[in-house]
Amino acid sequence: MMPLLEANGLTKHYEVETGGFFRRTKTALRAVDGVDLTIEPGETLGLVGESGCGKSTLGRLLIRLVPATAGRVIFDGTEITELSPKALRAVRRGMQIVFQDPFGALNPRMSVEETVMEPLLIHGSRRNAAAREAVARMLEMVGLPNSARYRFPHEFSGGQRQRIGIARALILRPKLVVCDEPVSALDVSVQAQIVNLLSDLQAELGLTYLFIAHDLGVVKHISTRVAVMYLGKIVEVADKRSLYARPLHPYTQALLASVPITHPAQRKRGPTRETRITGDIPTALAPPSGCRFHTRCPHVMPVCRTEEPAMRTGEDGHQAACHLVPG
Amino acid sequence: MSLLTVSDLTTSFQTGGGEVTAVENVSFSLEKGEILGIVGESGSGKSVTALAIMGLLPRPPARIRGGSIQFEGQDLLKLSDRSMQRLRGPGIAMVFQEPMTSLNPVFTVGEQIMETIRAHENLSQKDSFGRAVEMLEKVGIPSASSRMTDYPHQLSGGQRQRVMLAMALVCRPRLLIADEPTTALDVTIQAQILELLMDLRDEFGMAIMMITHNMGVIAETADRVLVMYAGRVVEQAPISRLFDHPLHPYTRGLLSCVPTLDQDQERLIAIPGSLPEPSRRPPGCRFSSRCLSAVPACSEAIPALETFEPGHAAACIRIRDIA
Repeated sequence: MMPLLEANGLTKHYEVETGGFFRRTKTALRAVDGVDLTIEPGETLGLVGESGCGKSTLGRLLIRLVPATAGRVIFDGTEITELSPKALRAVRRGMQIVFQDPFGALNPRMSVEETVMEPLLIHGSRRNAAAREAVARMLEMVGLPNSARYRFPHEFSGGQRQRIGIARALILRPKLVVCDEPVSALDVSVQAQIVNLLSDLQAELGLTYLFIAHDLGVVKHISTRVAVMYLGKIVEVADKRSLYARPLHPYTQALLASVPITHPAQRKRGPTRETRITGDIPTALAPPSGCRFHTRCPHVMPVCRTEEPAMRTGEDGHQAACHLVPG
Repeated sequence: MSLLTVSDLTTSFQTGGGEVTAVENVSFSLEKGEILGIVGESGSGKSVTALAIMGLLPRPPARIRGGSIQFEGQDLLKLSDRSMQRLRGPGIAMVFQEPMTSLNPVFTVGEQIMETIRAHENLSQKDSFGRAVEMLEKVGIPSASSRMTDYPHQLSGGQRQRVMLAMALVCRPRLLIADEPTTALDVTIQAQILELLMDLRDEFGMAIMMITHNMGVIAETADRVLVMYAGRVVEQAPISRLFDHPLHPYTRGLLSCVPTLDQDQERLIAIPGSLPEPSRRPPGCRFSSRCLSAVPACSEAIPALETFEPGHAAACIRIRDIA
């Protein structure tokens, strides 16, 4: 089967000024640094990593909300990194995004109906009865009452605002939806509602998701496959079950070991915490040589400091970029 | 005598739409060296309770309408501003969620820690410098003495939270209030900070009030737990009781709505609706509008906290029927 989306060598460098006032120099911040990724139709690919690892930038690169420095993206058979703005607009119908902050992502001066209808108008619909009918159907699908259409974002709770954001993303019936931390700004009791809604809509509309999150529990619940990102690189990709049961990369192992326990009886103190890592994520302005994780890795070897490990594919397609993983 | 005893604390805020009750009839106590977890979502009143104990609620618009806060035998609500100031630091200290906004951006890390020391103790510049460096080392800041001259923006989020902890602990408080201390941090850093907090508790023997919305953080740290919803305590229990036999429907909902790594669920068990605005709280039990076990009687009166087992109390009239 042909993947819905395929990225090769995708790279995004931001130029930032560093140094003192008089010795200003330009340095490249390597937000995303050579990512190969595929997303199969109908699946949910989870993308996890710590803040600053480049996961949001990658999500935006994949649907060309930001232009890539290098590399290419093929979406549904079309190479989109070089498309003209006009041709891109046609492709955009097929790919939409749901943002993290349901407060910042909605225009406070637009009613819910205007917000949800706007994508239709941009893509050529008239503001007519059919468009209003489409909005009404969409609101019902995301669980908002029809009376919501004339109200404004400030009248809604965080969870309901996220429903509005989802309605706006889905009204064009896209194939791919990038969900960028869609539940992390919500209260825990509301998170489950939105996660369930996203699952229901996926089944109903046959959607494909890229689900970006830092919560490993939510990602495990919703994903088909999971990709782990560290300092601009994908370090491990595997089927959800395989990744959580047998994480191969020491960074994935450390991430999983850092997740808080679910019952006080599992409390461990002292030396049993060896897989946990120390220190902070290094800066993307000067990523470490060789394997980027070597500065924090508990299993570091001399080769890790000099040679960047290639992505190796093991059984059942479990991929990891680590010198310890047999190739 | 308990280290801290809060009895019937009720606070309200004056808003454009009238007076709103933030915290109502909250009572709990905390023993020396104990870690009390306070769980609740935004709007549950957990942070307002903490700020009331610290004497940091801006009055007005806030108003303490009733109750008492006894710390080592004195009622904090009756203390003068000056005595309260003397107590903050060596008596009670607090760390906040946002290490970036709680640190002053125009002073170095060292200046801010030394300011705390010199406000409470008559130490020379040199001695307080030494104390500050020692404390930074204790919270795990590498090459602490050279970090003393760093400004907050030069540190990472995890390092800033460590500096906040150093500032809070440098006067050896008997009670540390940690208000969502790891919410803004990544999981790897969260694990480090929680471990550090537990180690420091063992070393200094201080009590900790751990305020969080994260049941995992509670499971990792707390000895006893208080669950708050819409300004009221709905359940109170020793840690393993709470996880093994949660009584209140809200607590049960909180424990089951979060997907975990050790189980697979087809569908998450969500709590319907969302927390009501303080001005639109339902009559009777405040959780009744979202509760799947609610009956008409739930809307008649606010249920009182009832003790079911020693140390385990819950405020729900349906517990015997739904158990």
